[in-house]
Amino acid sequence: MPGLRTELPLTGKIGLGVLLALLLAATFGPYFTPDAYDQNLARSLEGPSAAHWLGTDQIGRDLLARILVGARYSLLIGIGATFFGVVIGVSIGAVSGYFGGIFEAAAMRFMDLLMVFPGILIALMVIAVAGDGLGNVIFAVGLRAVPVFARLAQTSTHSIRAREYIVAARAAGASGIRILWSHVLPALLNSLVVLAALQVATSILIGATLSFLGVGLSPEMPEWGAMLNSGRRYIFQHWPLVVFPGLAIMITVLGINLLGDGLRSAADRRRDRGVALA
Amino acid sequence: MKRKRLVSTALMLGLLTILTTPLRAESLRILLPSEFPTLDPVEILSGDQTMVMYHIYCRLYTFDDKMNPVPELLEKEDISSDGLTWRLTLRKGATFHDGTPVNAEAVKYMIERMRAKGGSQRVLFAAISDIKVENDSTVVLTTARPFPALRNSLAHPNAGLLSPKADKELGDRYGVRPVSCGPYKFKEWERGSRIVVDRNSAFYREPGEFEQIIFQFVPDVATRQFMMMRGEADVALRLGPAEARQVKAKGLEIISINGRNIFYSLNYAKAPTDDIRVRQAINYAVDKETIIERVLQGAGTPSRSVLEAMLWGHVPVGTYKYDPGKAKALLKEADPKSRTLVLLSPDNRYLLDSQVSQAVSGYLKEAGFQVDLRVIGDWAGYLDAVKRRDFNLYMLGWGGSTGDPDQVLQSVFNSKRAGQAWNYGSVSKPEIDKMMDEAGTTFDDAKRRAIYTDIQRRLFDDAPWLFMYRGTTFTAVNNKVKTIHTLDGPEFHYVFPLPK
Repeated sequence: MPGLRTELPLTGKIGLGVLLALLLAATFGPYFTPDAYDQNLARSLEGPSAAHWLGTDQIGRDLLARILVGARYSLLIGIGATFFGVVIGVSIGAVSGYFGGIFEAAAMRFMDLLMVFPGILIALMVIAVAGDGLGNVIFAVGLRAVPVFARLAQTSTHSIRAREYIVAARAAGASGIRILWSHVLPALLNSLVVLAALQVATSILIGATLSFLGVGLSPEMPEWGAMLNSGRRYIFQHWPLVVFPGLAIMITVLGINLLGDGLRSAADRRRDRGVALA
Repeated sequence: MKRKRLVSTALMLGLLTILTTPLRAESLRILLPSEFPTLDPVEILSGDQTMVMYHIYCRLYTFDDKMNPVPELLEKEDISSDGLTWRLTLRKGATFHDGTPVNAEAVKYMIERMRAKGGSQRVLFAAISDIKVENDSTVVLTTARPFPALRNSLAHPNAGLLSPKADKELGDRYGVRPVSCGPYKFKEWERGSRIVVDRNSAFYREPGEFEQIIFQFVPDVATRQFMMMRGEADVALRLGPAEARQVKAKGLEIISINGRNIFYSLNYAKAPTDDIRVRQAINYAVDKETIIERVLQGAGTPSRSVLEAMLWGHVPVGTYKYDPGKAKALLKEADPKSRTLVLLSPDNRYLLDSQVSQAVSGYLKEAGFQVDLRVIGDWAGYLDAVKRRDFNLYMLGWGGSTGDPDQVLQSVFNSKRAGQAWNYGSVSKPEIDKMMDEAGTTFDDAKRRAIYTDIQRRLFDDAPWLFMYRGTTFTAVNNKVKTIHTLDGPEFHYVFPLPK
């Protein structure tokens, strides 16, 4: 996206920086720390030291290592779930918005049905049925994002469908799928990018909430929500167990939200000038 | 302006009234961690349920502080010389909360109801072959074999007497509106919040100390701790070691209960734990002492037998001392095809259970196993997973609610129950079966003790469990409570005196 650097407001740049730093830390950080699963009961609940920068947890595992590995899970859940939501949601929304008719009515009422339930409830139900595991968590959190994207795609497609260039393409003999792919989708991209960025943050939060409730991932896995849950009992004895995972969630979600907001205002400014972001 | 002042004065006055109204000293507020579906004695699922029931129900026998059965409503016990016939005479004059008399018919009704409804506790009376009502206050029980533990069975909270009239009238609703003959009578049950019981002034011995007891359900341990520290409650059950220290620092009393025997049952029907060497390796691989010290922060003592100290006949047989070298050697010798262990753990059922399970999993990995740790938070879901028997280890805590070893041993190790509750580990040892049957049917205490000692030794060597610890739990109590008794096994208290 050329020119994005200049278009993005300062807060958006900060958000982008946070996200990049996080990606780097999640990818390479764990190579420089002790193993996140190595326990040493004799050194449990220790404060920060040269060997353990953030100290150790209740069974003597390195807290920093766990937070860094946890970043992988959080980003994986956030991005994976959003990706799932975009692919499924936009397909349903764009196709039903373009072709209309009974399929549109049925698909959109079904999306409404999904929207009726709070996201966390949907995720809990899915895991109750499908069982634990990272893949299921991503699916469960992603399912909640499907109607969000479907709605957006459907309404936008609806309004684009009547535009002259679409009518012209159809008159020239382009198939419905081709029109959707090469004319409708690019027009959606602006708002999709913005919405997706914000949905990543929401998905990370819901993922963390699930494991805080003890659902989805094994407690051995250093997911931030699960770390908060098990550290909760030690809040008066050893505050780092709660504060650091909490900060990690906060910074990540804040960073992604800042980026999403920045993208939105950049997109708004461009639209005001009549330029497409993509 | 004037109005504003008026409002603030009114607010201040309101606040003052709230602050100065004394809490009704006659009521006692007890905080329990978990709610339960029913107060019907047919099925008891938790110590919290037992605690509430203990205040509402009365029984023929009750337990003293050492879990020995002592007479409660019973006036005279007369056992035939062959040990098969028990002529039990009740005290006269006791009544149920609805005014109907507590008589021999009610005893018969209770036992037959238990058998007809078929809950898991019907084993308590499995030995009884005949029940005869001789007269209004005498009931004669006949057992097929000598059954010395019958006293314990009749003292068990599940043997609570209930008003036949009320039970017939209420039908399915009886469990949420129990009518018995204990020192307190049921008043109301606010689902998800609390159960209130009132003093039974018609109690056959001295009535309860408090006009009312409120059992309030507060699942979160920190909330229980703070309510206790702020004086919003008089008794709070099951605090952890850290919470107990802070409550104690506030000048409140802490009662520690040597509670359940916590262990992991090993599956004899699933490789690699079908091999005794693997089972022993697992026992040597885990450092119980360090787990107690670091994870439980001292709240426990190493487990030394399949029977715990609150049970009659307990012998401290020994411990598998942490020896990673020996564990590795045993594992190498056994050389099982699969070294993967499926470990099931509950969460927040026992003190720090899932933390302990993570530590155990770490130790087992060090010894050369692959561990598939599955933590299941809700208890019903956990038991479902256990019932599928796709585990090598699952965590369980056993209290021993009758005080007699017979019930515990029979339900955990009898080969007839292999694959069922509570022998999901499918332990199947015919020689143990025979010994248990022998010990369970003799009145000769010395002989029983000898057999139980032998059973404990053999089971220890066969390593049917990963032996862990006897967990300590803490109850906070303020000075409003004068009388409080503790039953170690089921881990609960009651606040009325024992019969003299």
